[in-house]
Amino acid sequence: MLIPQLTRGTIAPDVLVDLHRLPGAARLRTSAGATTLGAMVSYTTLIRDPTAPPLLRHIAQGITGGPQIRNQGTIAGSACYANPASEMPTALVASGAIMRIAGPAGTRSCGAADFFDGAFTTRLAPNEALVALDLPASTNSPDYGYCKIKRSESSWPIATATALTSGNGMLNLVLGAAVTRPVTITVPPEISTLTVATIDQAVEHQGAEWWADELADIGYRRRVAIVALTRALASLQERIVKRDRP
Amino acid sequence: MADMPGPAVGSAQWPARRLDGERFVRGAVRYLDDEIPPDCLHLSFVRGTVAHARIRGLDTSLAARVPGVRGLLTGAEAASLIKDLVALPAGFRPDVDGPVTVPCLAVDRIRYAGEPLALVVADSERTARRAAELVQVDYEPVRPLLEIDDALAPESPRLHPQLPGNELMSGVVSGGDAERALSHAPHVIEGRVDMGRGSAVPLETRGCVASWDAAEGRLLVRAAVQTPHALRADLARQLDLAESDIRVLAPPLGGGFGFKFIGLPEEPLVCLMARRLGRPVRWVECREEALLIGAREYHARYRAGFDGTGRMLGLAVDLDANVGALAANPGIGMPSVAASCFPGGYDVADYVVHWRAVLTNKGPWNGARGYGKEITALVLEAAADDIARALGVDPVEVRRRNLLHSHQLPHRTATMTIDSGDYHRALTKALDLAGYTDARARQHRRDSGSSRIGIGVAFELTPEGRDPAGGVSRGSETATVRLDTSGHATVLTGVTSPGTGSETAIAQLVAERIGIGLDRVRVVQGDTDRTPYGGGSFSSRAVLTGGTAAWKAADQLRGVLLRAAAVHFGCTEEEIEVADGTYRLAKDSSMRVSVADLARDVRAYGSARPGVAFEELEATATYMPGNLQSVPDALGRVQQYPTYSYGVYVAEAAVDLDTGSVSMRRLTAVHDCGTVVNPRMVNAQINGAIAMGIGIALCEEETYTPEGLPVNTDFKRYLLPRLPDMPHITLDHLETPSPFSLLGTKGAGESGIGGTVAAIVGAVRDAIGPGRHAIRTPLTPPRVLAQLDAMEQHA
Amino acid sequence: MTLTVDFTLDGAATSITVTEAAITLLDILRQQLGKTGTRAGCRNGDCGACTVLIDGEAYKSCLVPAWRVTGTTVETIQGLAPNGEPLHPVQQAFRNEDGFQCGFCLAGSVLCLVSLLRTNPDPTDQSIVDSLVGNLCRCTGYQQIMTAARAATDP
Repeated sequence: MLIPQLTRGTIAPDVLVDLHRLPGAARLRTSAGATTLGAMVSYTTLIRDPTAPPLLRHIAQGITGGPQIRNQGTIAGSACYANPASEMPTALVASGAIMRIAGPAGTRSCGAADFFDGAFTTRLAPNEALVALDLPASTNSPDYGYCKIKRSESSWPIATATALTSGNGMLNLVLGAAVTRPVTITVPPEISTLTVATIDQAVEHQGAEWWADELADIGYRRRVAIVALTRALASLQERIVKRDRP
Repeated sequence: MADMPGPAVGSAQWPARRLDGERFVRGAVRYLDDEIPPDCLHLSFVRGTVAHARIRGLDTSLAARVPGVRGLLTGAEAASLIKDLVALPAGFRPDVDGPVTVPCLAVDRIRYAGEPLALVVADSERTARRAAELVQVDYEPVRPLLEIDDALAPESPRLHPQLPGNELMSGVVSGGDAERALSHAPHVIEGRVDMGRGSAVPLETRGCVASWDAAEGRLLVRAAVQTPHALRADLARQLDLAESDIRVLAPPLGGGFGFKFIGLPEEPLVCLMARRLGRPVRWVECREEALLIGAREYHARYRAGFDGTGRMLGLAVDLDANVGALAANPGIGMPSVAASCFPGGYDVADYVVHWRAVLTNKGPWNGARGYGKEITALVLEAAADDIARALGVDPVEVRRRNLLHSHQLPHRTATMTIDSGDYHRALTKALDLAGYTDARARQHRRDSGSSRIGIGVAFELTPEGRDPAGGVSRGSETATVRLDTSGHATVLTGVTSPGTGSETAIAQLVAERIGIGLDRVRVVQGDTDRTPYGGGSFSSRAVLTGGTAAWKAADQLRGVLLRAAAVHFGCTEEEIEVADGTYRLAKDSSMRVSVADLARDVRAYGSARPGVAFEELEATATYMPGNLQSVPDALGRVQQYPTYSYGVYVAEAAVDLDTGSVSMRRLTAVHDCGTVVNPRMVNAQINGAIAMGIGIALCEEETYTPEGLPVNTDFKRYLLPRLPDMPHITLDHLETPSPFSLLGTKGAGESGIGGTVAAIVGAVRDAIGPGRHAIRTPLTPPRVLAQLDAMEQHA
Repeated sequence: MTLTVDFTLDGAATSITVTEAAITLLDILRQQLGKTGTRAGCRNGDCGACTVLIDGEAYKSCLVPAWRVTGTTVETIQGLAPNGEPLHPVQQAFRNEDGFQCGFCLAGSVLCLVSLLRTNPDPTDQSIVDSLVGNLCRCTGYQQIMTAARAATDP
């Protein structure tokens, strides 16, 4: 979204910094299950690296826009833009990503859940840059669930949901696209149904709001949010069952 | 009435590949924006940012000061330099004096968000755009009228100063006595269909590059238009030039679909500025500008009377079209066409269609493939499905009961004489191909928890070859074919190709008739200096009229060659056969002479040898299909379509009961466009139409904010179908030649849109279940979910 | 700003001067370098008509600032078989199968398939679909494109 704004003259920055030449910016490294993504790691790099977290690779494969966007879009870029409809912010929150931010005062870290502040809003200050993302080994799991609901192939997501097991045996569901910032809902593994009340509570509690845009209003998103979460949950539970079966 | 029977057009024997295909795959084709003359200036429009307003003032001073700006024009200035566009000719409306016009640049009022009200010409596109943004407009906003009810409310303001109200035009199409039939019918259903506003959206946008040749006193125009001669006529009138002082070149188009009909202000203004500034001027439409233009917004209410066997006894339709702001292009004719195509392929004698085109403050219409026939199909098929539902029978039964039989054709209605076809055979074939019986059986077995399969069947009648009397582009076409002494032929045709490859089919017809290889035929189109006067491309006429005219000219040349060959061999013409680029004795094929040699003979020895007549190697022929009548008969009937393609479409879709998403699984179509010249190209047309139908049925819509600002300003918001959205498609054909076209062709460019939309709507309704559904396309997931909710509440 | 950008374009060493940050590779290709085979359909990264290969991977050139291609190898549709050379197999497949109608979206589809085949010479239908999903076509309904793609990937 930024480049067309630039090329059309909607934005006219005084200084433009090209991050591609930052050393290591395009590198993805996994060590002992923990993955670090440089600022310039593209969706394609993520997809092609079998050591990278399966949930992220799955989501990257389905990004709207085809191989071209997979080649030229970056995970960090998607995070900084914080479009509620984007899938990566939700995936990063689900993965417990730590955002490494560089600024005049040095480097600081920020958990993904805190990083995303609202629609198109992050905790990045104007004089800061996101230089890397650290994904912990605990979320680098083949057991995940994901559900994306959109209107048609050309459409951006209307509601997304991720499902991962958390460290303490509970299941972490994260709702995205239907809300201004990703919303985490922790549930016991044996749960069979989610309720709208649970979701509403989590949305309010985490300082998020239901999101509306040109492609769907709040009413529809509230209806399908629970569907996305339920299906992501079911998908995760299926994977666990398959894995546990000898 | 009927022309002589068509000759064998051997579609099977001709290679299907596109002429010039190699240039295409090499990326060597030059579209409009691929040629920028040296010294060219660039034009950018200043467009209104509100939907409805009085313009109190305009300040161009800041814009004028931008370095690189070479010209500026406001609406007030343009008014004295260029004539207004004519939307309705004088006399069209008896209550209006003179023609109904729109200015090229808005002067004192803005009628839609995006309407151009000034322009800037500068050294670069970027400069022009930046300067245009600096033009300051003082608006006095007025409440925009976006919906028909609002536009027609008595207290609402008039949107056009020449018209007493906001109803632009209206009419009635009827046969028999519908009200009587309905009042006597044992059963009556009623329903409502709303089709959302959409647009043709070719991938290449519009554009124009013009230059004034002062030495010759001529205007040279390159424009991405489907109808170069029509543009020339309009430009001549608007700029006060003779048509012969204008040359219009229409380069290969990146798609047309009616979007590149003329009558919008940009092209004439580019030409004006080129002349004023004495330098070439270029304008290429950006995507956001293109999405200002629309089509297809219809609201229909219908009543159908029927008996216990499902026979439709009477039909009454009220069809309203929200045509947005008045425009001067043929697009505003679509509601009338939609009405004229009732009752489609059904044997209903008593019907009435009241139609209206209503102005609002949405963006203007331009042509869109289907041209109204898509809403006709949707309404007819919705009514047929309603009847089936009311009687508890399969929807196919209602089609069986009501479709015309082939022995009933030609069949005359108030507005059509349907030429030929075998609708019942097409229906049977389509159902077989779709595995319909099995699909129904599987459907009932398969009710999985969160998803339900629906199946829809639709018939679509597609009248083609239109002759719009009163306009400059008519239903006839002229072609010149020249043979040279190399044995090559050049075809000069007034049709253009929006990218369908019709020039290949035309070349095939000429090659076959003269007896030369396809690689020896060159087709020249899109040049008003070189080709005969032509109608360009619309209504699928390129092969039907253009191809037939070329065939006739080629046939004349064949005669010339046969006579020359007869003299050459000292035999009669009947003893000669034409094959493999030679004319030879049928009884001894070693006695042969090449086309090139014959051509040389004709040139060199015409009336210089015994028996050799003096003949030219050039022939010009004009062709207008039969079955056209623009002068009303005793009953007041006219008909402007000579030929009638048709098809049956079977759609299988899965509806996600929790989200309302519709996923297309299969689409089966059996289509008949009469004689097929190039089967691969016909299939290609149907496939494209099916994709457009999917877009209309499921995802494409131009919507507006309450303030009247367009919402769907790019392809992230105006959703076009992509490859994964496509179902598995199976196509097959029947070939019922038209008795009214020389070669039996009917035209294949629009078939498939209405049928696909109707079949998908039918499938979704089938999945949702019995009950009264409000049909509103596109059937987006939120709309489908709302329908499912309504079903549940009802239950 | 003045930046010299040296890169390889369709096999030829190329040097351009970029004076604006906002100029796209698409515009440079079309307006300065004669590569009009790369088309502009939306300038918003949606339609794919502007697709080129950069170091073998597909990119929508309307989203690539011109200065980004320093030191890279850029391929356009016109570079697959320059100077009348025999067509690339993917081009030949599109030619044989008439995998296009108006041709405006053709470069995008061809180049995405060329890129796919370089890393995956025997792709499944799903892989083909994945590689074409970023390209809009308004004429063909994608059917002929799939036919040509299958012919190119499974001759």
